[in-house]
Order: sequence, then structure tokens, then C-alpha cells
Amino acid sequence: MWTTKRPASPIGGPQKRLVLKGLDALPALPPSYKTDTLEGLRSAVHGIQQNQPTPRGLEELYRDCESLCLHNFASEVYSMLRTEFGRYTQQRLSQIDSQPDVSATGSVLEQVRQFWEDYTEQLSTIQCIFLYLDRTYALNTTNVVSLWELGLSAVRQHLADANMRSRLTRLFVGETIKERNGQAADGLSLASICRMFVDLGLYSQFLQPNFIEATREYYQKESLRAISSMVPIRQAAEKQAETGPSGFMDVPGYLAHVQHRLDEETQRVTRYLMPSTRSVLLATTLTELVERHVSKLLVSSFDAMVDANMISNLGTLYSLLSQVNQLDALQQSWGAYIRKTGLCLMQAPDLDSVLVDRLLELKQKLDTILRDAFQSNARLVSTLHGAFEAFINTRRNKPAQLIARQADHYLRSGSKHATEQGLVDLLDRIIGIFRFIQGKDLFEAYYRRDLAKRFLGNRIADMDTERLMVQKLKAECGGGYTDRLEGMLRDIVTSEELPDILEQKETQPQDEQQSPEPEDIGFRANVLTMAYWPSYDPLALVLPHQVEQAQSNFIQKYSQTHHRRKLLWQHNLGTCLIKVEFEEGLKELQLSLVQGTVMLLFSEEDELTYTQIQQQTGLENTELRRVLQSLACGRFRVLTKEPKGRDVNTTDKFAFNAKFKSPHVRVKISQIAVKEAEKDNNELEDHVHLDRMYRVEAALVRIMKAHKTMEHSALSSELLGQLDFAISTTEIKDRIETLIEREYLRRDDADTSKYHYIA
Amino acid sequence: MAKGEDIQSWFLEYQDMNRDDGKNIIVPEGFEKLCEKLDYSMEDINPMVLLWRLNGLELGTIEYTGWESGLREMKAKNEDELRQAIDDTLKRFDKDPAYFKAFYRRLFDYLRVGKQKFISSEYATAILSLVMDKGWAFSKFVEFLEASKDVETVNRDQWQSLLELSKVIKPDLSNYSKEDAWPGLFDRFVDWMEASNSKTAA
Repeated sequence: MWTTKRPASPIGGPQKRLVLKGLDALPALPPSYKTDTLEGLRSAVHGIQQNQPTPRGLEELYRDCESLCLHNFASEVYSMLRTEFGRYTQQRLSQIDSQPDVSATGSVLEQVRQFWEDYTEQLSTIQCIFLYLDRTYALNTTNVVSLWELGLSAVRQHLADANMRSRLTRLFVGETIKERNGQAADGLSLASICRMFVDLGLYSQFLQPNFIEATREYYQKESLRAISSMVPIRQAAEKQAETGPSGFMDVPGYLAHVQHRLDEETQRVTRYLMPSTRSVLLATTLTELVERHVSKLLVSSFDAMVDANMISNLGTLYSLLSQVNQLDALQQSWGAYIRKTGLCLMQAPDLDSVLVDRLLELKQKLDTILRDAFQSNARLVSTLHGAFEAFINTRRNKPAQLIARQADHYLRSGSKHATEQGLVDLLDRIIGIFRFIQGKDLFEAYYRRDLAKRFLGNRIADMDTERLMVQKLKAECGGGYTDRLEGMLRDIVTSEELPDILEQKETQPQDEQQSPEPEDIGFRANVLTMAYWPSYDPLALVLPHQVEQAQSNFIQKYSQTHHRRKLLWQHNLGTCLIKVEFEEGLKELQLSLVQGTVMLLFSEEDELTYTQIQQQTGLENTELRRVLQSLACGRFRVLTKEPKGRDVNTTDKFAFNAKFKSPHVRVKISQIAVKEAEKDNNELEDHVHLDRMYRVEAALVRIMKAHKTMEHSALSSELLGQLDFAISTTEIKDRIETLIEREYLRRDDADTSKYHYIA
Repeated sequence: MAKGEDIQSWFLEYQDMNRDDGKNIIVPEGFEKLCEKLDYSMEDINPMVLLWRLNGLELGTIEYTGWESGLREMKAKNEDELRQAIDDTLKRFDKDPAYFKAFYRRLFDYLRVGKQKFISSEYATAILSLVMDKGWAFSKFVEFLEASKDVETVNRDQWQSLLELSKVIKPDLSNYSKEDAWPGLFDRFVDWMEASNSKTAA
């Protein structure tokens, strides 16, 4: 309220009053006002469209527009602008359209870009001048669009009427094709035109579909051309530089090319297309370049790529196929490749000696591909497993035997493997293929036999490694599987500790055995639990008395600590070391127990007949012949035979060969092998087979006991589910047959494919 | 004379008198005598049918109860009527497969020795040769047994299944499957047939 505080006027006198009165009548506009002002605005618009500076200030023009609007002339102003926009676009675009695609004044695309840039700039200037119109009239009146929209619709109208938009689209697409063909393209114009189509609302309905369709055609042709002229795979060395779309490519080259195309298209999107186009563009490209040719690509080159271990190319293949959802096809090829390659290995006739090595190599190679190229895709991993299982079991029992042999080879002392870690890796790889074999029981039988041989032949390199391997087998197949193996390992350990225990105290309970005494001949015994170890045929042999004494001494001590154990001597597993005085000097002969027994006879007599030897040793003919042959006819002849010859007859005479010579002090005289291996393996396999048949019968009875009545097919499939080895349908039926015969089961009288359990 | 007495005295003609366990029973000698009387060759099927109709226990062995009820059922009072009844039985086999099946199944008991669970393949072939017209597989099976020296016996299930095989499986074996419940021996039988067929074809 500053007025009230104001001091009184120093001048004084009566106060003046200001009186405001309404006008009696509105002042009339000058008659030419509307026309003149409108004309003024029109020429200003012209000026802007010619890129000339407006003669009057923009501010003034704004006021003109405002005042016209205030005087209700808005619709006239608006229609004036409509006319001017129409006229201008008509004029410029017709002029551009009348020119050839490319001319001295620049390409149509460039000119349109120029037009569009000019036009939008002008439009925003005009929009500023006519802001009042835009805000009041255009905004508040129905069916009247904003000035910006009005400007655009003029262009849209013209493009549609003159069919210029089709021409522009064609040019646009043509430009991209030029670029795909490796020529430079006017990216700037393309981006601008693209922008224009977006602003005009013609992009996703019009430009994009046309562009995608052209892309489809382009890549369709390109891929057909490339596929039809595809060349076999070239090794990296002979590969020339990327030859482009028209050159001859091999599949890896093609895949690289596809990858390159995808990158290009991605860039294209960022350079002059809308981001929304990206997914459909890439999908189209992939469909044409990859999806349509999947089987051709795979059939022609997949195997060769795997053969040549082209990891990175396979990686590209994997990524492309997974993008078009064609991993099924890859999976098929992958499985087929493995089966085929595997079968080749399995069936190659002379490959058995290196088969396991080859299988390990194959497995490792495939594992690497899986990991590095196929991103450890779970389906492909399981395909690998299935395929391995399928081919490896095409040779029934052989793989189990060979894999066991390989394991033995790695585990026995004297074999060459780099480091401890190296050995563990090898064993892991063995387990890796062991996993696939069906005859795991057979493997176990072989493994036990080999472990026994390693131990008895003193070839165990390292007990920890032995234990590790058994643990691995246990982890793979469960405790039941390794029971006997673990038992064997326990026996081995206790056998080794036994001498000390017996020595110390005659009364400590423990598990195994051995001992010396009166005449120390270095006697040592291993106690092996029969249930764990392979079975050996007992051998009748009259032992030298020193050994006999040592044995009974041992038994006596052992039975003090281990009650109620029955010991059975396996003479054919024994070995001995005998010192013999030859003319050349003292030698140590490393012999089997049987050989040693025969040798010792000659410490009392210089000459013995076959019959005498037989009487004194109690050996039966075959065995005795073999032994004498090894001593008198082998590489080291510590006995002489009369008459000479390779074969031993019952009438022969033998004498100690005092003239025996050898550069070594210790001589190992090997036994004559009776086609051991073959016979041995067959016996072992028969044994396992018999065992399997018992297990089949037991399983059948178990299943039938649970179900009481069952169809043949259901019974068979349930049985197969329980077995971990292969069995033929005939074998199954034979087992069922014996169970019927033994009255565990009976066949249904009416339905012969049904069985009943007989309680 | 009551009928019962006829049947009894008829039985007495063949009964085994050399036993002291008090059983009234015809043993193989007596049975052979009966067959002779009826003019049946022991190499023929008739003695088997007769044995079956008289409720024989095992080969050539008939108890009185079986004899009596058998004869009553056949309404046979003398040798001629008995012969006629057996002829009728043979005719009925042709018309009534279930009837034959009952006879066929019983044959297993007549062919085995004691309580053994199998019959020798020799016996099996001998008897199958007599009823070859009752199943297409019989003659083939006989050939198979003769060719397979390692198949020495046929058990009851195999014996019974053989008749079933003739019924269910077509002679060209087109509907035989090893997946089905046939005894394992038949897989080998079928393999053998196919091998011998292709041999003859070639």
C-alpha cells in the first residue's frame, strides 16, 4: 500500500482524475487490411521457400499472423499456407522427378535429400512465424492438422500422386544393392531419405517391406550361386583371400562370408536404417543364406570339417545354425559322423592293437570340438554319448577286453607315461570310453585278471594309482562293481605287511601271510582271498623239502593268528630265484616255482630220465613237457637233453648243463606259453557269459515274482532295463524257456505270449 | 453178465499179473498185446490214440479206472467197437482242432521217460512224423531236429508251442518275429528254415 503512505503532493491543488470510457463503435479495419496482410505473409513464405531473407522481421510477421487470426481470418491464413506448401513441393519434386536417376546436377536421391533438408528447415521457420495460428486455430479446430503435419502431407500427397515414392524406394534399394556388391553408396542420402519416409509415416508400411523383399531376393540369388559352385574344402594353406560373392567358395569360406554379410547388415542398420529393421533384416539374411541350405552345407562338408578339426569354422557353423533353429540337423550330422567314424575304427581288421588309442584320440578330438566350437551344447553332448555307445558295442566283448588291456598297459611298471598327472589324465580318458561299453562285467573280469598278473608278476608300479583307478571305476559303476577289486587291493596290502606281523607276534589277528625259518630260503607267501581273485587250476607238484618245510612253517604261524582259514597253495603262480654254480661262475636263475623244483632235482643227480623227474615231481605229462622244454630247449639251456631236439619225449634223458654261459648274472627263463592268450580270453569270456545268464535268470524271476503275470514284450523290456550288457532276444527266450522247464514260470494256456509266475 | 464184468474180464486179459503191489494195471507188454489183437502196428498213431482214450498214464501203462471210464465213454464192449471208436476219434481230430490239441499235449507225457522234463528229439520226430497233416510246421521241425544234432531234447513248452506255431504263423514265416514270445529254439528253427529255403531257391 505504498499509495497511502505517500506524502501529499507538494504541488497541491485539486486532484486530477483519469476517466476511462468505452468506445462508441469499434474502429473499422481498413478495407484492404486483410488482403494486404495476407499478401505480405504469402510473399514472406515465398521468400523463405527461396531461401531469401524476409524483408520484414519475423517478429512483425508473427504479429501480422496473430492479428489476422484475432480478426477471424485464421482459416484464410491456413488455406493460404496449404496452397503454398502444395505449390512448392509440387514444383520442386516434379522438377526432380523429371530428371534421370543420375545426372550432372546429382542423383535423384541426392536432390531429394537436398529438398527434404530445405523443406523441413523452411517448415520449422514457417512454423515459428505462424505459431499463433498453429496454437489456436489448428489446435482447436477439428479436422485441421498442425502446420508441420500440413507441410508433410503436401509431400506425402505428391509422392503418392506422382508415384514418386515407388521410384524413390527403387532407388533406395538399388543403392543398398550397389553397396552389397562392393561399391560405395551414398549413405548420407540414404539416411536422409530413410528419415523422410519415417517422418512421412511411410517407412514400416512401405520402404521396409520393399527393402526386405529386395534383400531376400538378393541373398537368395547369391546363396544359390555360391552353393551351386561350391568347391570341396581347402586347407587353410591353399585358401586365397576372401573372394567375394561371385568367387568359388568352400563351405568354411561360405560360412565366413555369411558371418561377414551379417556384420554388414548390422552396420547398415546403424548407418541408415531404423533400429526396428534390424531383427527382420538379419532374420531374412539368415533364412536365405543359411536356413535354406542347411542340409546341403552339412552333407557336403560337415564331415570334412570335423575330420580337419576346423574348430573356428565349426564354431561359426554352430552359431549360424543355432540362430536359425537348425541344431536338429547339426545334431544328426554330428551323430552320423561319430557313428560312421567309430564304426570304421571298430571294423578295421588289423587295428585292434591300437584301437583303444584311436578311440581315445577320437574322443578327445570330439570333446574339444564340443567344448570350443559347440559351446558344450547339452544335446550335442548327449548325441556324442549315444553315438559312441552305439558303435563301440558293435563288437560285443572286444572293446571291454581292449580297454582293460590298455588300462593294464598304463598301470604296469615300466610303461612310459610322462608324469603322474599325465597318467591320471590317461586313466580319466580310459574311463571316458569305458563309460560307453555295455559289457562292464567283462571288463571287470579282464581287469581282475590283469591286476592279478601285475601283482604276482611284481609289476605294480604304484599302489596309489591302482587305488585311484579302482575308485574311478567305483564312481562310475557303484560299489557292487568294485567289491572284488577292492578286496584284491586289500589282499595285496595285507600280503605285503604279513611277514612283519607274523614276525612280531604269533598272536595278532590279521589277514595275510608268509614266513621263513629253519633254513632261510627267503620264503614268502601271498594270501589271496579266493572270492576276489580269478580262479586258477590247482597244480599237483611235489615240492622240494626246503620249500615244503617253509610252507608248513608258514601255515603253522599263520593259523595261530588267523583261525579257521583254509589255505590252498597255487603252485603254478609261484616264482623263485635259485643260485646255481656253473663253470662260468655263479648265476641267479629267475624261475617259476615248477621250473625251480625241477632244477633243484639236479643238485643231487647230474643226470635224470624223464620218468625219474616225473616220479620225483609228480607233474603230469603236459606240464612236465612244457617245463623241460623251457629249461632244455629254450633260449637259455640250463639242462641238456639226450637225444637233442626241440620236442620232449618220455624216453629222453636230461643232465645239468655246467657249461651254460650268459653275459648276465641274473637270467630269467620264461615259461613256454601255450597259446595262452586266446584260450585264456575265451575261458574268461565263457565264464562271464555263464555269469550273465545266471543274472538274467535271477532278474527274470525277480520281475515275474513282482508282477505275477506278464506279457512277453513287457517282460523283455523290463529285463533289458535292468541289464548292463547286451543280450539277444533269442537268448532271453532261452532263459525264459529254462525257467519254464524248471517250473518257475508257466506259459498261459490261452495266450501264449503271457507268462505266469509259479509261487 | 453185467457190463462191468465184461469190462473187467477184458482188462484181465492184459493186466500185469507179475506184481505184488496189488495194483490193477496194464503195462507195456500187455498194451502191445492189446494192439496186436486190434491189428495195430506199433509204428502207427493208433496205439497212441488208444492209450489216450483209455486214459493211459504213461507209455503203455493203463490203470483199471482209466480203462473202465475210457471204454464206457467210447461205448465199446468188444474189439470191433473199440477199433471203430478209435477210427472215429481219428476222424474227429480232423474236424475238431481243440480235440486234437488235447491229445497232442498228452503225447508229451507218453513220450518222456519217467518224470523227465523233456522228451528226446528222437521220440519227438518219430511221433511228429505220424501226425504231420495236423500242422504245417511238424514236418519242417522233424527235418530241423534231424539236421541239428545239438538239439537233443524238446521240453513241454516247446512241444506245446509247436502246435501253436503251426496255427498262428504262416508257412512263409512272414508273421514270425523274434521279438514275440516263441521259445528261443524256434528262432533257430526259423533261421534254419530260411537258410534251407534260400538254399533251395538258389
